Amino acid sequence: MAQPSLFTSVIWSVSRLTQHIRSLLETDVTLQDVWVQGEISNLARPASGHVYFTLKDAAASLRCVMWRTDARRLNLPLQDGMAVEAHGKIGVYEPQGQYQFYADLLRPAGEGALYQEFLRLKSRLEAEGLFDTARKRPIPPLPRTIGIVTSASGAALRDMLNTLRRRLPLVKVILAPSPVQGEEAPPALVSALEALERLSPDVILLARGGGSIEDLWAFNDERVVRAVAACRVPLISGVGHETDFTLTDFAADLRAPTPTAAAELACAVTVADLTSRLGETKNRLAASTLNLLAARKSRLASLAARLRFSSPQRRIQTDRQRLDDLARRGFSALNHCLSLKETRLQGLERRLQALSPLAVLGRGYAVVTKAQDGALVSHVGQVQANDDIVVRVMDGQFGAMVRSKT
Amino acid sequence: MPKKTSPKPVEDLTYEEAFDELESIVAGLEGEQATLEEAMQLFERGQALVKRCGALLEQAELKVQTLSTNGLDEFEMDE
Repeated sequence: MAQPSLFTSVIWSVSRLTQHIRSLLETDVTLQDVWVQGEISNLARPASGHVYFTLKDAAASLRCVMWRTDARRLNLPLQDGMAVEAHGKIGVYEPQGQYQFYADLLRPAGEGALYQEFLRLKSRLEAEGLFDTARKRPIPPLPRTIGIVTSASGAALRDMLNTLRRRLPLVKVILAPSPVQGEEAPPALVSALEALERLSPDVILLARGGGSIEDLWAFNDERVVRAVAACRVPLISGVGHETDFTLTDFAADLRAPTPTAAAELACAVTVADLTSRLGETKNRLAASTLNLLAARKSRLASLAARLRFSSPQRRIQTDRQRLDDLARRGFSALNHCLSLKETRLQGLERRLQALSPLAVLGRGYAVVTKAQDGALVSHVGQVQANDDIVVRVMDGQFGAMVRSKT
Repeated sequence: MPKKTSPKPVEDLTYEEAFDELESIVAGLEGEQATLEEAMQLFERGQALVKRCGALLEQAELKVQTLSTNGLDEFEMDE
């Protein structure tokens, strides 16, 4: 080692030197965006809300800080001894001359590898078209039978049943219970799905309550995802929480953020909707029947009016009037005719009177007829003495006897 | 419109069957093609269907069965 120079021209202050080191570290691209894996120790969470800990492995340790704003977004409880993966950057704390790691993200160790696996499988299945929007089938709005694949003992099942009971108690539920985490979960989920599918429910809910990403991992299993994609019954997935996305969600016809939401989406129409629709239909039934009756009535009324118009009664009345007319005309013609005849008769009578031989009687003449046969006696030779005769004068007649012939 | 009403007694109909029939009856009545006698029969049938649907809605209780190796079992939720 070389002897230090005693008379160097520049002497640095501690601050200056520390700043120099800091700028070296903080301009290194690798150190400013890095994932580091280690075990947590010396965890401290003072009232400030910032989190201090040390990450270490068998050979080294690294002092770490997580500021309050990042710590607030942590969704796993930290504890000493926990193996984690931390993302952040290297910086220098000048007062103590220490370099340290400023963490902004923490996740359980191994999650990174799982995530890589997730992405690889996702892109492979995506390329196969398993997640295509065109494959998605509509969910029937009013199912009669709903199949559920989930754990028989989980809160998820209770939540779903409560939701269905509240929204659409008309529905029949068939539960195909299956473990939803662990090694045995994927094949059990697949066979539960297949068994349920054979019963042809109107829709299937595949659900699991929230948990860590490992807990949900069965729903990223290729066998499960393929069974979901192949399912002939429309399927709604409801796995974990709002923020959890599994490959099952991508393959399902509809993804619900939670099991409860899956149950809600499975009955778009609720018993309240049905009740109000029934009420409307009931009104329509009454209204349409009344309308129909009213229409029939008004058609009947118009037909009745037409019937009255063309009724024989009307013709009879017309004919009767015509008959009266005719009768009147007949009478007057007859009267006229009669009075004409009467006048003529009177004239004739007068003329006849004037010509009547009886009229001569008034002047003192008499008419003699034989009593025996009523023959008019106009010649002497017609009678013998003692013949009975009848003598007719102006105002009557009397019998007589012929006394002699001269 | 139905040529003739379903011979099934309303008590045997599911909600969906009853409601579907009710809708087609109303549609038939609204079409005003029915004879008066048909119309009165349809109306009566419709009223019975409304009653049936209402009762089903009121009495409905979620039925849950579990699929097991033996077939379907009634399901009891442990509270």
